[in-house]
Amino acid sequence: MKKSSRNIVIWGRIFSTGLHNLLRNVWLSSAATAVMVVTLSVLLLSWVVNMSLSETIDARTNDFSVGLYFNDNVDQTLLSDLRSEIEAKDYVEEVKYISKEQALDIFLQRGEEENDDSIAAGLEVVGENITPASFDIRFNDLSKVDNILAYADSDKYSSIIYDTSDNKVTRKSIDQYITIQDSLHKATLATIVIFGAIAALIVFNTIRMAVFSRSDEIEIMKLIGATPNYIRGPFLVEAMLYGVVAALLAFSVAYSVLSSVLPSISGLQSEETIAFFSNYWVGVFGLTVLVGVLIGLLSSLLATEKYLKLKRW
Amino acid sequence: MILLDRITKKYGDHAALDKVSLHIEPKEFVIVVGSSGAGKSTILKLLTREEKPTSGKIVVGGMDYDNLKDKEIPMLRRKIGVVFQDFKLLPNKTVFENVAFALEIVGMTGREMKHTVPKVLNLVGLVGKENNFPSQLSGGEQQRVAIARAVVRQPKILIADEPTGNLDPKHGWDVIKILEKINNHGTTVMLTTHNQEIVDRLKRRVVRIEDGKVASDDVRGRYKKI
Repeated sequence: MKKSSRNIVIWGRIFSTGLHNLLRNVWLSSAATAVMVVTLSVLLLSWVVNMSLSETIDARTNDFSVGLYFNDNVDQTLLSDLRSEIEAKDYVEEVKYISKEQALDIFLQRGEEENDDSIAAGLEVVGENITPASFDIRFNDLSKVDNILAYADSDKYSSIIYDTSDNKVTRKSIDQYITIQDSLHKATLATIVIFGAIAALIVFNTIRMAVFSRSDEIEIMKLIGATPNYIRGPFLVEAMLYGVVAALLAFSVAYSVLSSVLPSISGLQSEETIAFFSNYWVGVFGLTVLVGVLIGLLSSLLATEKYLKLKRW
Repeated sequence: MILLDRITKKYGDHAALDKVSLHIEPKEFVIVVGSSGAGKSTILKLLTREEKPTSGKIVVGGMDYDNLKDKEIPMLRRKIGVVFQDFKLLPNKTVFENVAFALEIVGMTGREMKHTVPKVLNLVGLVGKENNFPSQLSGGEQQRVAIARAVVRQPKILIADEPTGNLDPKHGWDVIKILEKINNHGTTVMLTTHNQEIVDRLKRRVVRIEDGKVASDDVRGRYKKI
């Protein structure tokens, strides 16, 4: 039999022994797996909620714009300077110039949409286009909106700007979402660190007890020529399997929340989040398994390093 | 086959072995005798590399222990079969599984083990006991399982550390006869024992260790009390 074939048999044996040991210590395994499920669930759920919050903030931010309204017959050079200055700001997404004619069309169109004849009738009475030209400004950072509004009071441009528009209610709600998201980041980080550490400690202890309960077997294995990897392998496999089982359970929890709870939370947009997790569930699951396996692997490596005494033959 | 050259092993200030030299030829059957604490078990632990000598040179089967790396120790132990006084069997495994355990770690398949293990169980007279657990066997039978595990990989050297120490005379002698049979198949056997009757009946080379030194080395020796 070739050496490579022997190695395959040995690796298979290491895996099956690890699986067998996991089943043999089902109660200890359950405790380690349960804490890992909590850790991975927190990780996945915070990912879901965070993505949904981002989606909501983006949608609200995209809908939000500030208007700078101009007097009639303003100096076009000054208007052009103002546009250049605003467009140069890195927190400004877009500056759109709306002429008086376009503004009138929008105004009339809105009247039609709302079946309100009084708007058109009123303009006919006035006899001229009283709607102002304006800049419609969109942002990628709403905390700087006041910088743009301040142009209305500036020495250079106050003569051409006669008014501004700013939806403070929308801004406030977006600010609230951003605050929630910031708090969520901090809480998630703290929770993952705490539960991750607890999970790692419990896995460490579970493997430590498994090493002690199999100390006779380990001694015999050493004496009859088992390699360190052959002795250590089943313990690592056992701990990694905790991670796989925990990932599977945490994934089920997260997807249940994603499909049933998230859409019912008012004010939270989740269509893109749901679509993302539906389209990339294999990758998400793989990543969850990877995190679970890493927690198990690192804890069991530490435990076997400390208690198997494989450096002393 | 086995060379110990001026081996000293100290534990703190106490010298368990003091400049012990010993040369064992291939296929020899050597009995190491001596009182408790004389240093017999230390020699065996040095040969299996459970311990390292404080000074001196050890060469086994062409392997110079001075050049032996830690990762090569498992390979060394696969070439040396060891039988212990307390058997060191796994209680939750059957006779077959205990013997096959030595083959599992080298990657032997289940089919190969089913072919090999019965032959060794036949050699040690345990046919029909394959599915028994150690607790269902007598002391002599348990020691025969341990011998089967030690020789199943056909090592060139078999070390038996007081294999009859926990057995009554009849079962003890059965075990010795198996060791002789294994020696007749070409395996070098190194046996440590306290048992005067066994030493005298075997009429083999006897190395006496006293106070960590070789006190005598007789080709067809007898048990001599000092």
